[in-house]
Amino acid sequence: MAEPTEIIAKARRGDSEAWGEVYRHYAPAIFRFCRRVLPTSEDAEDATMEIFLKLRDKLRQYEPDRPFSAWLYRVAANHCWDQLRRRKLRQNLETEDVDEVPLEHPDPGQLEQLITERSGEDVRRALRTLPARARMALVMRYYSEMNYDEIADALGVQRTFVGVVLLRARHQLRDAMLAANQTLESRGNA
Amino acid sequence: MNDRMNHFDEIACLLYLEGELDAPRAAELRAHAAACQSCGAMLRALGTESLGLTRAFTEADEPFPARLAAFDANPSAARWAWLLAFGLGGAAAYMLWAGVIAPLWDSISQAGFDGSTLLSALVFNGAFWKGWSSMIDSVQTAALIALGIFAFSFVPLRLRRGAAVAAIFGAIVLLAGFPAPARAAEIHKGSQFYTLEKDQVIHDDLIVSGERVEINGTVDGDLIVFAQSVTVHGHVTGDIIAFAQFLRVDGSVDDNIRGAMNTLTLDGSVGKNVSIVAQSVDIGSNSTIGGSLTCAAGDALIDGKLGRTLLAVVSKHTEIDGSIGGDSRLIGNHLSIGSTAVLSGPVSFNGVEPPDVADGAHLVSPVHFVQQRRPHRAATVLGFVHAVLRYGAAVLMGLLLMTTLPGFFDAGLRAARRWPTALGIGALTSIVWFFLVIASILLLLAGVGAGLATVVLYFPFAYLSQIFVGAWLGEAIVPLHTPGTGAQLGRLALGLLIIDAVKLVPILGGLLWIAVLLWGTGAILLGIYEQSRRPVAVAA
Repeated sequence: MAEPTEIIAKARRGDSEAWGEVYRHYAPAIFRFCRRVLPTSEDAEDATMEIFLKLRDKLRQYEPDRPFSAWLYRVAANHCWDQLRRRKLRQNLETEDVDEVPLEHPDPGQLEQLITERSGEDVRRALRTLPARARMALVMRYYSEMNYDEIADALGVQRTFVGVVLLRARHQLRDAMLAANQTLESRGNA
Repeated sequence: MNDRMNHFDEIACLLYLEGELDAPRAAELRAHAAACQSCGAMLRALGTESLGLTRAFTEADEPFPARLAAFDANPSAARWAWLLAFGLGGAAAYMLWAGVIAPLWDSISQAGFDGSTLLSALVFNGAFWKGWSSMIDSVQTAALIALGIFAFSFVPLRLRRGAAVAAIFGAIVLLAGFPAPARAAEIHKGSQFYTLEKDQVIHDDLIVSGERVEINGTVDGDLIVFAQSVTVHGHVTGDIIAFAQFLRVDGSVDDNIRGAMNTLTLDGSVGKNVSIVAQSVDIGSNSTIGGSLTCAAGDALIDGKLGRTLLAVVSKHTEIDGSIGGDSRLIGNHLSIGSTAVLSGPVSFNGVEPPDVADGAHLVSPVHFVQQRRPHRAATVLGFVHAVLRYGAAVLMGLLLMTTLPGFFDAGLRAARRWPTALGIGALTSIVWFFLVIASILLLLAGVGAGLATVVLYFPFAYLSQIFVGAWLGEAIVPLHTPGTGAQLGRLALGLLIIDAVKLVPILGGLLWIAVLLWGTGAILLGIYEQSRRPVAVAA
């Protein structure tokens, strides 16, 4: 998505109409981001509005030499993670030691088959069943394309753990998709 | 690298794909994967997975919500709205205090409730009824529970658990704080006639219902009566609280007479105050009231002796031939003051016709007469200003809802769009509400407080109902998907304007008002229900 740099610059100078344009340009993407990481659509709507109200006040802090969308996603990720943390959704993950997570070598053929056979809706449904941190990590990386530094910063983990967090999240997602598949099959047999 | 198999493991493959491996190791993996079918397949699978994830996450699977499309990301509007609303709210509160509460409070104070606040007078001093504090019965509890649920629905979901605990502890503390129940009353009901004989004494409150009730003996407590005809020749040491067609008191009452009836005839003595709503009030020449008389009546004849103030709203005619120890404030059509009247305090009369004062009447000063204006209020400039202010207040309230409770506003608006459901639920609720009010006021056991609480609870619904129906109407007329609170507010303003305009039409306006009330109430309830059904979060 090409960035409307002129409009962003106007908005930074306090132009309300320009900020309205910025909102209309980016709000759908931010809503989708929030929708992927937060539990309900209403939560995502609330969060989107809160993020943009927050951004309006923080706009002067934005450095134009960086991509605006990256800054936007960073604020959104921090906001959503705060929301989830406040709700103690990550309570059982706070003490999780990522070093202890077993990372078994999957069969590449089965993995490819699993991915290609699943629809986007299947993947999103499985995503919703994941723990908050896994969900956040996957969305930050594969939706917002945030780099490892930004993910580490948002999640409050060491940078060296980001890869492990992501891989662990992928494993959990695969397990969730397989479980959903087995449920469907058992219903079909019944 | 997996030493045993001499392959790179999955994490290394992922980091390589993500560009997170250092250059020497990345080169090593690249070279290995070119020769190793297994690792090459792993790289391809992970790459496919990454692409699949991105595709699944970026798909536009649901439309951009209308609430967000209409959202104004510039908070300045909300800020000025807040400032304006608080400013106007403050002004309105002052006007309410100066114009309504303070004069009412003065009147109440003069009627004998001085020395304490209205709330404490009603609730704790038992001004209306001594047994109030002990009558926490099912209807009162239901009203309080309804109030609690209503308030609780506005608590954010994440705070609800804590709020529930706080509410439970609060309730325990409140219950512990209630005084122990008063002595049990003696209750008589079902019989057509009830007579307390002259030599009989009831050392208790007496609660009695029947067609005809006659008290010739002594009630050492309150007399609470529901009957067509009530005659008290005997002695009541507490209050008489009566809901009857005819109430005649020839005997003596140590405390107060309160209630609603068609006709009150008083020829006996009352130690404190008389506060009643009646069609006809006759305070006979042999009667004495130690305190004040406060009444709303069709006609009033005051021949007896009144120790303190008279506060009366009488639709037709008031005649005073007796004596009044304090101030007299009257509102009505016509006032006559007879030659035997002795009025020791100032007299003010707000009426249609000037008062008739007989020559022999003793007054400390001439009657202060304020003539009521005959023209319709709505036709006056003041009425127009009031109508504009009411309209502006409703629009502001709508703006406040949009900015502070957008979720609730949207939910209510969505519910208003389903008008048959909203109307049905509103009608059903109003019927239940009506019966709850009637039951809690008229069924004496429930206590008047419950009725008042229930009525007060209904006020916000009644007021907000116009906002949701107005928003719907505006949206129906101008179905533009213009984003921003401003556009939404404009539609609300248009809808409210139309409603207010149609309200001016005779009959049709009344019908519309009822429809708006029912429809809006249903929409609010559905909106609250929808908000309360929002799931808490999926546990991690």
